[in-house]
Amino acid sequence: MAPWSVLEITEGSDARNIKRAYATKLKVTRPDDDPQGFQKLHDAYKWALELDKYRQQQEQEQQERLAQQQQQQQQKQLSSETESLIEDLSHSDSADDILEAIANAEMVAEDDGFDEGCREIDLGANNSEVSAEHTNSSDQKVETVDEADRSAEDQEQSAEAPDPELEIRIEEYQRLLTQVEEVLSNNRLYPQESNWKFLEDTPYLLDEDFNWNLGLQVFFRILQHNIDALDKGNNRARSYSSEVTDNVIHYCDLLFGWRANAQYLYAQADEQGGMDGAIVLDKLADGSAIQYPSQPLRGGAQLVLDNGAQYQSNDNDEGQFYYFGGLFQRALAVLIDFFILFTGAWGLLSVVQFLFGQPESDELEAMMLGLAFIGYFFMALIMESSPWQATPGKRLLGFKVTRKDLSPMGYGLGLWRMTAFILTLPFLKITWIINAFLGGNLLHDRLSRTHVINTRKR
Amino acid sequence: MFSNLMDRVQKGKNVAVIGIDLGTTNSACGVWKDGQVELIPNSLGEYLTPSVVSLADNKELIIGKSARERLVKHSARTVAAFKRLMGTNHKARIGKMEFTAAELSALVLKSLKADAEAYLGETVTEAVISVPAYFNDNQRHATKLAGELAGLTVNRLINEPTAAAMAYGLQDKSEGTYLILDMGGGTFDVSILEFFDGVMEVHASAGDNFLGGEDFVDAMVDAVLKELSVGRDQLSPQQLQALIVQMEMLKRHIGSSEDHHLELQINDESVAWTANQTWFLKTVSTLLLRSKRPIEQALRDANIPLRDIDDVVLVGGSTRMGAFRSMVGKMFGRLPSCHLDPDTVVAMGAAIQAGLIARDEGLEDVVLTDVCPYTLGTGIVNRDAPEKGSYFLPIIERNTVVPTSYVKQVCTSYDDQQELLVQIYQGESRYVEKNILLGDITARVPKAKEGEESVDIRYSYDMNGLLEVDLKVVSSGKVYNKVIHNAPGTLSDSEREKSKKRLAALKFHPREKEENLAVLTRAERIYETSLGERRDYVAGVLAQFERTLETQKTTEIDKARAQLTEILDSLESEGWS
Repeated sequence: MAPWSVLEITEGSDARNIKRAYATKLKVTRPDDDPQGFQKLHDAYKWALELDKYRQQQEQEQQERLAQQQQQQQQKQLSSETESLIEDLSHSDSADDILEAIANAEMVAEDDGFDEGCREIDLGANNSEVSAEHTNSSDQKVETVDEADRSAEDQEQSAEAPDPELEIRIEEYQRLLTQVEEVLSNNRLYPQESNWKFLEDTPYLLDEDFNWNLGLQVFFRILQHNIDALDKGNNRARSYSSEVTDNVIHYCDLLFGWRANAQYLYAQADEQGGMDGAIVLDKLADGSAIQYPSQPLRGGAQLVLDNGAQYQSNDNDEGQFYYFGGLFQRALAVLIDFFILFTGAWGLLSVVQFLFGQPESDELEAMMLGLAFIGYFFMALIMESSPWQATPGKRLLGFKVTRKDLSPMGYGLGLWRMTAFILTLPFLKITWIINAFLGGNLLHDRLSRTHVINTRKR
Repeated sequence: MFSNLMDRVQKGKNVAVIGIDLGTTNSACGVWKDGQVELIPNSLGEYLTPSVVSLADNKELIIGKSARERLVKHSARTVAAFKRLMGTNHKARIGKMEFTAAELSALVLKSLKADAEAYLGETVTEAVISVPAYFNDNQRHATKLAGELAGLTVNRLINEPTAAAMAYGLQDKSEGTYLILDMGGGTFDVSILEFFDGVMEVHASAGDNFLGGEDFVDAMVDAVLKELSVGRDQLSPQQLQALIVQMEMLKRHIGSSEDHHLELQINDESVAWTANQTWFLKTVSTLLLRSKRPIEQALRDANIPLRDIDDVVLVGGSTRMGAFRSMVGKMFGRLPSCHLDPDTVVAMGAAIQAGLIARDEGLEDVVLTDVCPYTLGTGIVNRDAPEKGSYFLPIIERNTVVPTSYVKQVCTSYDDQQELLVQIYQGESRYVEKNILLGDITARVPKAKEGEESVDIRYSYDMNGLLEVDLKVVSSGKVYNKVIHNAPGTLSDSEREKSKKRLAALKFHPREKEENLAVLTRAERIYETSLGERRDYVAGVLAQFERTLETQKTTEIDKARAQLTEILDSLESEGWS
């Protein structure tokens, strides 16, 4: 076969010989002198090593099978119960199972009492949540599995004297998880990475057990949140909650190393009532955005940025801050819209005039005004819910209409927003006076729980 | 295996090729001489030259330690940590002049070259320069350019962890698999290497281009300012630089659990500040966690079980941090090795590589094979979700051994397409948007139906980690070669000449006066950052030294300088504890 002839050794040589042959050939096929020859040699070398590995695996499996057969013969005398157990064990040879077994073993090995402590907390939190009529079923799902886990290891848990240091840690752990739940329950908080930064302020983040357990629980909570958000999306029962997005998940990965433990997380999520870990973990697959240093230079009078613009400071990660559109500018936007609509209405009426003769000029003005108002209602309803997220006037001034979590509105919400706008109209003068004190977050915005943000001002 | 190497290199009496470690914080250089590595001291007799450039009032350039001391008082005329801007077109302004990172690096290289020439007594024109393993193509090109601007032919760019491994290999002469962790001032690299039968094979490299000692200091500065509710921009540049110096010192001594008391000058007020190890750990915990990710990735990519790693080797000044060491210790359940000076080991390795390059015919015993740490590919049309941008089509997968060459074929995406734009990307994301654009090439193709015309894209990656791209139109056989446009940091030939001339016109501070300047600037910096009695004391000794300098009697000046250095050392210790 090919690799053996390139390396000039007999087929089926062992790893030691393959390496020796490769080394010898490499001295006369140096990568800097003969790149093509080197690539061929290196490919052959890697291939040969793979073949050797495969052969070793085969041999090992064969030995195991032999040993197994022997064992089975012995087992025949034993009860059928134990036999089935061994069957199970011998079947679990797929890579995943082994990985999982190793991960599980590690989890058990890692125990210094902290794991159990954490489970106890979760159990406690579960109880208190239920008693507080916290009916979020998802949380319970997570907690009950924890309970099951705990009962499995319950026997191991001896009556240790409570370690004060451990108790402080458990308290901290509990506090952080409560805060995670708070952030997740507030749709203005969770989309922004900066609202998750409290996680890095804990002094125990470098503690392996603490980090691992906290990471696991945060993972389950975000996963459950995203599953709920997706479900609601499917049922078209639009709610305010949306998925926790990539930026936050990348940040958590940085703290807890989810990507490295993805396999274990998948398995755990599946165990917890068949949740699909991919809903969160797939967001990591796209690779993180390119990291830039927070401080690119020391000293210097000035950093002259290249306009080809590659450098971005980390400021963007601080969460997106927007300003409300100012009252004056918003009035200007409405004026622009009305100007457009009047022009349209005038055009339309000119045609009508041309076709059906001359109406009274007062009547004409009233009709134009009426048409413009109705036009504005529909234009705003449609355009603010469209990908533009703005009427032409708003777009001209760089405004966008959004939900409170800065996501785009649907048509239903758009309709309610316009209704709110009309409802506040009868009190026009008072509305204007009140609005003047509301800092851009006007009455109808508040009523419809929407924001008009200025995308140009940061 | 390496004893042979030594003999062979010894025989080669060619022109000296020096090995240079061009670092974010410090640079060093070495040479292979008389069968062993010799580090080259600078004009102060030290092996480390801070990578800092300062412009004196008389328009002379000051490089190194004296320049670093000037960061506090003359921060507008002094610049450091510019390695982070390598491969971009951004310019740093010092005084009234503007420099790119490559030009600033060239100035540091010039100073190292002068040191080497003084030490060897011959002109030096060739060098091996080390780069972080995780440096991308633009950054590597910029490093090579810096060498050229400094008047050095860059024979090879060697990856820093690989260089360190060579130095260790020479020391230990032992075969096995090693994990190298290299955390310098600005970058963090992880490499897994195996030595056997005179082959040094890199299995995998991973890293973080913006994680190093400077980031730890930055995090500390930010934490202090946050606790005092002062913004970075509220401080004057002098105060900020003084704070950075204080935090740098603190970082070096915070290993012990006792409290450290500092006097900080914040906006004309003196603030008493106490820090301990717990505070430090809390401040830098995210950075430490960030450093774990490349380690995990390298282990995954190399597909080598943890038990097969024979040794974990620490390289780079920042690995002296106790917090980092204990984290690594916990990760691997063993104490890492660091018996060579982590600050100079990369320069030693680069010098060995330089010796290997200046080899005579007999030197065929050691072969180094390295990998490319990034996936390289191109963008292809994404019809599933056009709003997410083009898909990334990998051509060379990361951790492929180099040199290597791969071809992939792409075809036209619409009828009568006449031009095919091949964009060259580097990164791991499925979408090109999140990867780094290295450049592009356009090929003209004959008009035909969609998908009927195709182009072979060949990516070739050489030993220096530099990329070449060839396009071949299948039907017409026309070939387009490697000219990568738009890559930031590249210069045309005429621009290169211009830049060279501009740098050559700059005057350097005379080498022989360097020692006095270094002590003076250090004393001035301590004066600036001290208060009360201490300040008066420094002012006194400084004035005395200046008087001695005016006498122009060399022996007396030397004596006074030694005395002053001793006094300054007693005021602050620069070492690690």
